[in-house]
Amino acid sequence: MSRDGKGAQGSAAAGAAPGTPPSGKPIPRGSVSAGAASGGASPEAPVPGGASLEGAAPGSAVFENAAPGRATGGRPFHGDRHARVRSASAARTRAVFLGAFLVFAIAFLFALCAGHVWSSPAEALRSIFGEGREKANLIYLWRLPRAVTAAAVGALLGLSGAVFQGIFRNPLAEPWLVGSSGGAAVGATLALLLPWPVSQEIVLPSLSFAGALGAAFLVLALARLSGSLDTATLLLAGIAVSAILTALRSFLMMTLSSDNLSLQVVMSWLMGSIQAPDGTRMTVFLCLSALVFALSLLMARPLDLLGLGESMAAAWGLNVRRAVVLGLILGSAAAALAVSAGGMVAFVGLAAPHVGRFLVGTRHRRLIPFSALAGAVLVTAADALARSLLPPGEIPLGLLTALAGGPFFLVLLAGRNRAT
Amino acid sequence: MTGLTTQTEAARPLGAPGASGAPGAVAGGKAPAGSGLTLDGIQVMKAGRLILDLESLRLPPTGLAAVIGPNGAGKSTLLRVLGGAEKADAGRALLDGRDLFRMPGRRRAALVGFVPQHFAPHWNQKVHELLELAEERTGAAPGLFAEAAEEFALGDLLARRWEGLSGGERARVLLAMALGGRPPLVLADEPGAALDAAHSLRMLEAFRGKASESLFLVAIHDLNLAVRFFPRIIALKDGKAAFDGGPEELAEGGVLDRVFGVRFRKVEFGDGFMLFPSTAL
Repeated sequence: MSRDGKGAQGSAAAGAAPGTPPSGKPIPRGSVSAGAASGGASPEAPVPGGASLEGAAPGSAVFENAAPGRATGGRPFHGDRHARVRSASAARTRAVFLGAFLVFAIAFLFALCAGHVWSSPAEALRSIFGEGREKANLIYLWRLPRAVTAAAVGALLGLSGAVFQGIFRNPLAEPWLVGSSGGAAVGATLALLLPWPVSQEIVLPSLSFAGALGAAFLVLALARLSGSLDTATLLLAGIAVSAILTALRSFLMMTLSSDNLSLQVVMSWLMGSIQAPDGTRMTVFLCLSALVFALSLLMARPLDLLGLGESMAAAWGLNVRRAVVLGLILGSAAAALAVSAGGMVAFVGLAAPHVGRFLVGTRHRRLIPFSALAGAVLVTAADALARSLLPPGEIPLGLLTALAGGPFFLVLLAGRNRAT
Repeated sequence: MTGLTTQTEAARPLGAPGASGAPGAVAGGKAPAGSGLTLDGIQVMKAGRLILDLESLRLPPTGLAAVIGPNGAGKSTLLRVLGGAEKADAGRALLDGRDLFRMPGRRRAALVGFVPQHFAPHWNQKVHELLELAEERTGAAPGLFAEAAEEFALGDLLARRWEGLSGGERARVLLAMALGGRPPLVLADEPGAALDAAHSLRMLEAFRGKASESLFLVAIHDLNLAVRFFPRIIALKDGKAAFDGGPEELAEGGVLDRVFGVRFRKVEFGDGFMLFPSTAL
């Protein structure tokens, strides 16, 4: 018996060798080297006890020394399996991203072609890379900025959905449901309807941001107050806050609108429609979007840890409170930026991370970029449809995404109920 | 039948195995100053009540130590505070001379393997994703976690999702996550609570197998497992250390009776003994 055990230990150590760098170096605190450890443990390993237990749970081979022979049997290298699963998952992720980029390229091209007058893809491409004809001008000067804005709005929505879901640790959290879109709308209504001493380019985004942030914190506080962040609590808090914000917004619109301030602007904006900013505002908008995207990648690790639960996250070195606050600020900033250029667009922030988790897994450093990409595809395509389906009118973008997203949401809820 | 064999076999090596694992050294806790785990005046308040109040406790750099005590005695709180899941209101915890409470969280995370009482990840992660996260936390050499995956027989589980795992499989994943980076300190908060007899025995055997490289501080409810596997037992009552010593001493002189408020009967057999609660005091 003991000889068996020794043999297995020996082969285990030999198998471990390729994966284990020279002892002493890799484990900074290393009080004991790997070899010494297994050597010290083996003589006392209660082999008979383990052997007698083998029959009890044959499928679950080992807890270390319970079945020494089996651990290495047929597998020459330790961690082979582990490495294989990892590289398979990495390859899959690469393929998914490549595919998503292709789909995005197609959606973008489609957006350049779509309009009251349809263009061919060749025309669209030619108009961007030179040759200024009249129609090309339309594409270059009008459709291109709009498609770029739509893509950015979609990316921001997808990203903020991923961040909010990570912070709330709830698959139903999204900018619309956690109230930050509603908050941004109240802020924007104030910005649009009140006379401000400063230029609107500053007032609109800052008030949207303030509204989004305030609403998200309110929902989080309400959910915390009742002691949990589970789906029911979050939805109730979100619905309550959204209802209050909607009432507030309607009240503001009623009392503040006058003959010279058109409600039309606010209304179209509330139903969601992409307004491509012009000139420097476009540059600022794109730079801010890029900044938010870069910052959200820094949130990947905190969000991963939060996904393990607050205790585990704290034990693994995360300052939970700070991470939650930073995440809310970031998610709200993304939502506010999206709202300021695209109005209220529902469900993109909900759907994108779901597709992402299904296709690229739960790690946020993959999930956040993918959600952004998926959101960009959704909004670019939806906006192209919105402005080309019913010429000469334009369908509000928010209506289209809600039409597509509503059923998605229901399927999701149904699936959850079945699961529990 | 098999259960009995296991008990007697397992009862024999009371001391932790390995070079530093002579029972005397572990039980006596006479490690050279500065090494091992030193707890000093740790206090935790909750809702205005002092729920943990430890004067001083010294543990050697390696070996097994159990934390026992009735519900609400502060076992979980002690482990959670040491693991960084909660904050202490006072005191310090020196691991090899470095204060766990005052070092950056990421550094502490690399030094401590924490097995929580309840672990319910929110995203139904795949096992290999959880291991990836565990690995990133420690900054350990990549081979170590692959080895841990092999050691805890996770090969078939790597591509599976957490919620689809059985209790025993979950325990193996948690152990690989906690032990994979070979942390010098392992804190396990009733790790066997949801496990059947075979699995909880295997878990303790895994701990014992590694007791020569790390210090294990394990909160445990099953007194008989505690006295069988742990050469050093710390009993908490009302947040204070009511007892600190070996299993034989614990069974003597009514220590357990005072801690748990129950009269215990000791039944000896072969080279071990078992403790049965008989009547409430």
